[in-house]
Order: sequence, then structure tokens, then C-alpha cells
Amino acid sequence: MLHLDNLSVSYGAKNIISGLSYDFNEEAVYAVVGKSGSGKSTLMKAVASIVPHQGRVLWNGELLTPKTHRIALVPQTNGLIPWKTVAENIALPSMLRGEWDENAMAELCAELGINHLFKEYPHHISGGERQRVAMARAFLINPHVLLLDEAFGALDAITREEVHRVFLRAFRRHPVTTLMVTHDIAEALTLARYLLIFREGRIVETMKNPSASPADIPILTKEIKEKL
Amino acid sequence: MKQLFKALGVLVFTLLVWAVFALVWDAPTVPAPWNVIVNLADVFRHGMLGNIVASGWRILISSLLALILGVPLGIAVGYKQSVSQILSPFIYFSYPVPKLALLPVLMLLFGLGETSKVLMIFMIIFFPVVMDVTAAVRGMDREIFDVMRSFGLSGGAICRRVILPGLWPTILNSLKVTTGIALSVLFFAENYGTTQGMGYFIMNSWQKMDYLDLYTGVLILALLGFALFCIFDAIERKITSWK
Repeated sequence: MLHLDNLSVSYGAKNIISGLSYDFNEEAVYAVVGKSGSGKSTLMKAVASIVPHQGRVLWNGELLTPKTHRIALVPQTNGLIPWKTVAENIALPSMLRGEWDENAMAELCAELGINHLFKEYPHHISGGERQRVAMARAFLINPHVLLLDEAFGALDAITREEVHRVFLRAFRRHPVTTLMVTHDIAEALTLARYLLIFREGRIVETMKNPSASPADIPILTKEIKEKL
Repeated sequence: MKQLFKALGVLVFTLLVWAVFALVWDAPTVPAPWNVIVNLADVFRHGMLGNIVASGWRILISSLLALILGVPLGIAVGYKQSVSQILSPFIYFSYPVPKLALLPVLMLLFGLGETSKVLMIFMIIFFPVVMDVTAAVRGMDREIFDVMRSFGLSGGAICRRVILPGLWPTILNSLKVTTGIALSVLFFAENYGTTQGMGYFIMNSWQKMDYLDLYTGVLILALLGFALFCIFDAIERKITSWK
């Protein structure tokens, strides 16, 4: 269980996040939705411990750090290393932790439909394929926390829908506490169990996804936008 | 094959221009290209290989030193803001200083032997290596580093396992530039305390007014440079298939 305890992040004199406390009790997707500049990506980086912060990020009562726990970040630009093959990119974090399992990697990549890409380099595959490779890399380490920072934002609508389906399939087989930053409320309603309305560095409201039909999504989107 | 023909075409064109110039100038200071080419056999019979080896050795050692010291420094300055804040002013201050002006100092400190020559060349090519590597690291997508840090990689591991393998194109390009610079520095570095080296051979030929040997030395340098650059290009094509 992920717990934020009085989390604060400042860039110089500017407070981005102030005294944020929240419990993420389930292995579910929590969508963090808010306007640009509200501090959503900063929240991701603070949970990943890649920006200095005050307060604590805890996992089951222990300080959550990249060294002691498994955290996986998937950014919008996927963060793949251009000079390493797809296979090397996927395997690198697991290998460096001494936890690489070739069979597990093959099975996971088959689920994500990318095992035919192992010898390719990131520049030679499509945007949707790159995001699936980034997801494979993240899921392979069996993370305690998965952080998706606008991970689908750079994809066109058709590719995004396909990658959503692939993500949900992988998530159902490998459930993990997931924080997903998105400015796309329809995407949040598609993927997340909970929507956290984020404003000026604070979570102002938590909504459980009503799991409405696709026809209701535009109405819900409008309602949620008014809360931002 | 096509590229080879293009290269040969350029070479033939250059020789033609040279030939026309030599015929028009009609003076010993501009010998005809065919005389220079014939003279190649003669200079090799009289120990040219020793000169090539001597210069090659100096350039190799100084280039290796520049890479061994310059690449890690460039990575550190490019990757870590705090390191950049401390070292960049020093680099920017030192880079524009004409290192050749320090040659007498090097001779006083290290003598007239190989050390001062190698150090001279090293000092001149070190800074371009550092600047190239720094720029390359700064040009890398920082989100890659964020992702790797979230996976628990230390800064050192990121430098060794992520950044360094991606720097080979930069290193090869830097070698091309610094080899050219090193060849030109040879004329100064080999002008004292030695009777071996391409720089010594060319300057000695000039002083004896042996223009045929002078041009032959220049042609050999050009051919060596051409061969080296072709090798660097071939290596680059092999190791940058990811681009």
C-alpha cells in the first residue's frame, strides 16, 4: 500500500506540492487529472524519488526508494535508450537488479505483442510499439508502484486505443498500484478505477470511476472538467 | 563501390588542378604531381616509414590520453549540474588559450624528448574532446536518466551503462577532428629534439629547399589522414546501426 505523508516539493521559492497526504490502498489505476502546471508530473517524480522533496513516500510503512523497492516510470517520451535494442531496453533494469528471467520476459512480451521486435532499435519501430516496449520494461521488474506520466499522450487516437487495450490486458495479469497522470479525462475514465482531481499541488477530490458506458463518457468528461 | 569511384574522381580532379597550377607556375616551389608521386618510392627507401611510425605513435598516445581523461570529464560535466557549475568556468577559461604558446614551458618542465611533444598534442586536443562529449550528453533525452533513476540505477551506473555506450558516434567524430588538429600540431611539436616524424621531415625539407620532398611529405600526410578517416567512417557505420 502506497502512502504519501505530508509530501511537499518546491522548485526554488515556488511551492509545487504542499503537504499532500494520501493513501493508495488498492492495486488499481489511480488517474491524476488536472490542468497543466498543477503539479501532476512533479507528483510522479516525487514518488519516484527523482526530485528532492519533504515529507515521506511510504510503501507498507517503509520509505519507498528506487534502491529498496521496485518503481517503474513510463514517461510520455517512453524513455527508451536509442542505442540499445528493444530486448536490451526491456531487460536492462531487471538485469541490473540481478532479477532477469528470460522466460518471464518472453512470456510478457508475447502478451504485449512485441517479441518479434527484440532485435530492433527504438527509432525503427512505431510510437505505439515503443510505448508497449516501455510497458514491458516496467512490468518485467514486478514493480511495487507503476507511474505513467502522460504515457499515452504522444500517440494518435487509434494507436492510443490499441495501446490502452494492451495495457489493460497486461494490468489484469500483473495488477500493480498505478498512478497515471493524464490530461485526457476520457482516457482516465477508460483505464482508471479512481480519478484524483489535482489542483494547485493538492488532491481536491477523489472520484470512483462509475464505469459508465462509452456513450456516457463525454457527459462525465464535461462534469469532471468543471471540477479542474 | 560508388563512393570509392566518387573519392577517386575527387582525387583525380585535385591532381589535375595541381598539375595545371604546376605547369602555369613553372617553378621548383610547385613541383608537378607526377614528380611527387614518383618521389614516393624514393622517400620510402630512405626511411619514411620510421617518420610515419614516430608521428603515428605520438598522435596515438596523445589521443588515447585525451579520450581517457576527456570522455569521463565530459560525461561528468554534461550529466551533473553541480559538476558543470564548478568545472565549466575552468574549461571555458582554458580552452581559448593558445596552447602552442605553452610549448617553451613544456620543454623547460619535461625536456626536449617525447613527453613534451605528446603533452603538447594532448593539451590541444583534450578540450575539443571534453566539449564534444559534454554537448552530446547534454543533448541526450533527460527523461531517459529519470526513468533509469526510478529503476534504481545510480549516477555512476547511468554513466557507464547508459551514457557511455551512446557516446561512440561522438567519440569517433571527435577523433576525426582531433586527428586533423594533431597532424597540424606535429609541425611545431616535431621541430625540436628529434630527427623522426612527419612534421620534422616536412619542415626539414622546407629548410633544405627540397620542395619535392616537402610536397611528398604533405601528400603522405594527406593520404594517411584520408585512410584514417575512412577507417573511422567504417567503424561508425558498423556501430551506429541504431540511428
